[in-house]
Amino acid sequence: MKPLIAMEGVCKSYASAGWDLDVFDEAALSIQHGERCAIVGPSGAGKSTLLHLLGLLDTPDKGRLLFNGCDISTTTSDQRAQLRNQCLGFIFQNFHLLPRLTALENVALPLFYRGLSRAAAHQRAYEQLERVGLDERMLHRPASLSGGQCQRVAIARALVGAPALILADEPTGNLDSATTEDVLHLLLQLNREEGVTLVVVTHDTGLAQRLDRCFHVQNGKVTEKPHHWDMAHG
Amino acid sequence: MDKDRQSATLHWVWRDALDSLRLLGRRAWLALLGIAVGCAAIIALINIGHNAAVESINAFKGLGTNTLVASFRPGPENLATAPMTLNGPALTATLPEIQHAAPLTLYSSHPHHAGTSMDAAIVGTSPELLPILELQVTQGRFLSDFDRESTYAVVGSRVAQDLGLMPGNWLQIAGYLFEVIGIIASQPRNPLLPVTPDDSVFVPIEGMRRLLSAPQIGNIVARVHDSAPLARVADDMTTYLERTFENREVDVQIPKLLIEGIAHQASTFTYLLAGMGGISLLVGGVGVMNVMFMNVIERRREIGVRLALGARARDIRNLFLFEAIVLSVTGALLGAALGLGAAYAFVRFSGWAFNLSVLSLPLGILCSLGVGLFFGLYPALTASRLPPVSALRDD
Ligand SMILES: Nc1ncnc2c1ncn2[C@@H]1O[C@H](COP(=O)(O)OP(=O)(O)OP(=O)(O)O)[C@@H](O)[C@H]1O
Ligand SMILES: [Mg+2]
Repeated sequence: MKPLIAMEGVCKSYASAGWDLDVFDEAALSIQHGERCAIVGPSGAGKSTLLHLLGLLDTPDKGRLLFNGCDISTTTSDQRAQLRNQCLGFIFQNFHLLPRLTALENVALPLFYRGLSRAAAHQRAYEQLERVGLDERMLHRPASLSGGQCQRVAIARALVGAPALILADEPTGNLDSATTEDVLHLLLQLNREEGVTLVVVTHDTGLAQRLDRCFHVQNGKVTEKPHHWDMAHG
Repeated sequence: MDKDRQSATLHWVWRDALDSLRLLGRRAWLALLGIAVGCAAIIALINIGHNAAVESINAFKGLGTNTLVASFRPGPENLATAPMTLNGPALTATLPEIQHAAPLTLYSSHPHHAGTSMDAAIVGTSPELLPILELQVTQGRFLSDFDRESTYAVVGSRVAQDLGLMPGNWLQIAGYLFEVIGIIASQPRNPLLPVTPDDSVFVPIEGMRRLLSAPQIGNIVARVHDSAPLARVADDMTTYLERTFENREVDVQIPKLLIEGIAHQASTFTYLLAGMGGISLLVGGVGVMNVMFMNVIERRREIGVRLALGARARDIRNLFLFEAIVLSVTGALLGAALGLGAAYAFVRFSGWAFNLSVLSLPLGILCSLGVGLFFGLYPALTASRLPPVSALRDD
């Protein structure tokens, strides 16, 4: 079966402070439709960078990135924008909510770029906020929400477009254990019921172990670890 | 599907741009103010300059463009041989280009009437003065050829007003009584003329002998036919007058040349003010640029988020374009109204008549529109072409 997303020989480096920092060097990975994947690794290893590449927010310096069998380097920026809008849901490490919009407007934003009417977009955004338990705070601005509440707004925004792939960068980093459980339950339920593919960056071993696959990012490579692998011995 | 999406988002983008301006709040007001002030400055300065120029030309326009003014240098006291008046018909017969010519002999005095008196110029002249200076008679009539030996007087509007004169009243000048036969309408002061009609009493030049022991002609004003070459006629007139008034030196001036010189100076003045307006636009423009530029730079992360959520570069462009359009158009129109208001107030305060400089409006409005649009759009376009992560990273 054709993988949903695949990376082959991807290199990515950043020029910073005068010298090149190679974050990825000939990295490869392949994820099938409906899989649940964790990405783990030490801080600064490049987990967020990997997620940005998979989320079509950044382009590899070298190598191929295939989305649904289609080489991303052959697409136009408008096509990538459409893919991001229709197929991808991104939950950023630092939320990236627009400060001047209310929670509801933030969640409705992706639908705006699909050309939905305002009423329909707000209706769907409201449903997602209800799902993450924030329907009562829908008219609040991000500044008046707590870190955990912002995280849930960001999750609602990623879900609102009914994406095929959800990329989450430490989605439970700011949540207490009860809410973490709720969020995880929500993501797993989406995967079970709608076949949504999950890629989750996490430092939480327990969380990683509840997903099917686990990719380890270190030294510019992405390696898959077996299920029972214990991070503490890595 | 793509076409559908396009039309739907266009409508959304308008609403989003308006929403986003509303949410920008103070920053949007600052941008608006910057554009309005820039636009107002150029429109106000150009209009004030234009009105100053028009005003300075208007002061001389009353003289007409085909008038000549001859002045005699003051001669020796005793000039019994010099004619005391001008033979107008003889002059126009010799110089056919001259339509009318009238002599002027000035004497300043304090005419009395009914117990009041005032300072006024007594002007000995001939009936031809009426068409030359384009005087308007409001009551009675002007001097005629049959009044040469009479003691008739025609008074200017201010003399009539201050002394309460009506045709038929008697006016006492240096012990002689003159009968007022007409009143002249008020005329703007013309510095190129030796007389100010409003403050003058016109009497037949032959009668000046009653007031002065040895009256001398001070000036001759002449009106030349429209097509005649002024410079040559002026030369001919000098020759003629020097021959007729043998022992007096004469100097013929061509007001048209003076007016042209003044008009030239006035246009220099307009350029100066336009230059100042340009500088004010530059300053205003830099202000607009700063506000718009900072507005966009501070919103780079927002651009990144929108890109990540599926906005295309053109969606970003539309959002910022519409924001810039709303700000620039409102700002420019506000500025135009403000600038015109300021110029109008200044001009009226200076006691001039307001005269709109038509060019100032498109100039001021287009310049501030251009600056506002460019600097509102350009940084946003740059950001929208970056990969979304680069825009996102910008905190
Ligand atoms: N735009 C950039 N310019 C320069 N260096 C960058 C840039 N983006 C990332 N890096 C560097 O790349 C490396 C990987 O960064 P990344 O954010 O992917 O790490 P991470 O694994 O997500 O870490 P964390 O667990 O702390 O979030 C870091 O050393 C970072 O400094
Ligand atoms: Mg990270």
